[in-house]
Amino acid sequence: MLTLVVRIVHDEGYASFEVFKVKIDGKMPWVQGSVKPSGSVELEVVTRLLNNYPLRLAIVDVLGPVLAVDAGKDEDGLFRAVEKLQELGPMLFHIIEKRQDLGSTRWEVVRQLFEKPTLENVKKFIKLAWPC
Amino acid sequence: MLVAYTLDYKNHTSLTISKPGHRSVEIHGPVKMEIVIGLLNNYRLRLKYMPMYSGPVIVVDAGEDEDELFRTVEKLQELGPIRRKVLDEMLGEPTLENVKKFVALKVLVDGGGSSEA
Repeated sequence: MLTLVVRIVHDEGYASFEVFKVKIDGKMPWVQGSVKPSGSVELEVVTRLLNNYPLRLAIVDVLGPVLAVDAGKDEDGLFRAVEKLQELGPMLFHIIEKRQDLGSTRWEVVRQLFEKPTLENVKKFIKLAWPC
Repeated sequence: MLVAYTLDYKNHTSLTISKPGHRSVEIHGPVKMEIVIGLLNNYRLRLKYMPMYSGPVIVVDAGEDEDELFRTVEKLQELGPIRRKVLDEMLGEPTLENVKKFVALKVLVDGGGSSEA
């Protein structure tokens, strides 16, 4: 069974979280990938994106207490979106600053990302920022 | 509103339940943690960035159960170690009512503490 889990990480007075893609085969979890959003803008967008799905607490071997994200069929797309948001992280501030250069259609995509960060709106933003 | 977050130690991770601006309860044992996790999963959970906790935490929307839920977690933490066998035999579904009964029975049986390993 594949699942997405969020582990809150405390590091010298600063907290962040890491999103893991985990395959649970029997009792042992197999971590297939992880992303750790680091900037405050990425953390905010990813937090609101994950809150679109039901969350529950669970204990996973090796990882300890985690939040499991019940994303159903969105699971793979959601994990990829978090990965891309992390890669685009340093650009997010820059994109906001360049508002006047974006044009109204492209700014609308950016506005939607911050106002309503659904998976669909995040995908539209990723396509805009990273057309290839 | 109640808040939950994890703290890493050298060989384990604890789970802390906090009433912002008031008290906190830190849960260490795996059995107690399992009970608290089952209990919190009865409510809506969401992630939130809270500067007073230096980052993201889990927010528990417990509504009118909030005070009772926090008191129950406090009392559960005050109990001595709980054997898994005892948990399986006595608890059932980890609803707030069942956990309150479990804590009361455990206090009655152990006389306010436990020497169980």
